[in-house]
Amino acid sequence: MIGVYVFGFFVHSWLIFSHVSILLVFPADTTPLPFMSVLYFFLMSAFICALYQPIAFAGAQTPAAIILTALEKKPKLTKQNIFSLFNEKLLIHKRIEDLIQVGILKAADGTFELTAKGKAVYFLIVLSTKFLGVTVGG
Amino acid sequence: MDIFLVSLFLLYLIFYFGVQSLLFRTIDRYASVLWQMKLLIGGGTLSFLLTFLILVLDGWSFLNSIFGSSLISFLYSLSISIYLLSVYSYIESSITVKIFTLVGEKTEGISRRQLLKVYNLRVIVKRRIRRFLVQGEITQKGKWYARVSGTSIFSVRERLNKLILFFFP
Repeated sequence: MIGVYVFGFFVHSWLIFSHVSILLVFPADTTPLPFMSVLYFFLMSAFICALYQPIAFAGAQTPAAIILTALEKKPKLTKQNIFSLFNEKLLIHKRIEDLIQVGILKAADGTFELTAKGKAVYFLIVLSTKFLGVTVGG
Repeated sequence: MDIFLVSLFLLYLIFYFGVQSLLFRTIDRYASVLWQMKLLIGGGTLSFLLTFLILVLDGWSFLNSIFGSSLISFLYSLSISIYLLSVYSYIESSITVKIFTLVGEKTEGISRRQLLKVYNLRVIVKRRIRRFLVQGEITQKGKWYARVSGTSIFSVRERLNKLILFFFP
């Protein structure tokens, strides 16, 4: 999957750069903007990568989308109706298995713990949430 | 001139993260997506107007000022969109990230039963319903929930997903 992102990044980066390097000049006096061009090129590439992300989850609906789709089909639903749309096994257990498979979580003696790689990722998450002033929602 | 524009752009980004860092400690967390939209649109407009004013006062031609401020505003919106799509959306609503951080909080480890006690299907669904209610996506009348508008940021993603499945079944 990472390979797809890296490949997409470079292909689109090249395409964008070949256009942007020509386009970014002041219209009145045609002064070139090399730094802005480079910035534009990187941001456009990163944006395209961000747009690629749903492909990784194609076929798997998010819980939010499941609720909205259900409310499109039936105009009124109770909380119980909404609960019945979900399966805890798919919603939680499968994700735990995925985390173990990726190698950031391990199961030992019936408990889950972070691996060394997981601890590094956790440290990054804690640091960024503190800096950004947000908390992990879920 | 070029460096000046890049510096202005970086300044706006610092301003955005500063505002977010202060604001998001005080607001209702379920309204955070709405606030992000306000920061994106409001910040984009403000960066355009402010840059235009700075460039005109600095003696730049009208055409160059319009071009420069549009560019800055566009790059600002682009950067924030990347951040929202790639970082913020996962922190705000990813179940996987939540499970991961819950395990990380317990240094001695956490059993499946303990984990499900604090984070389970009901908690996940209740949070989403609350988020939709605060954002005005759905309404509640008694025990019934109904959809308010046909198009939202969530349904856009859903439609994109359907489009991907159509082309890559």
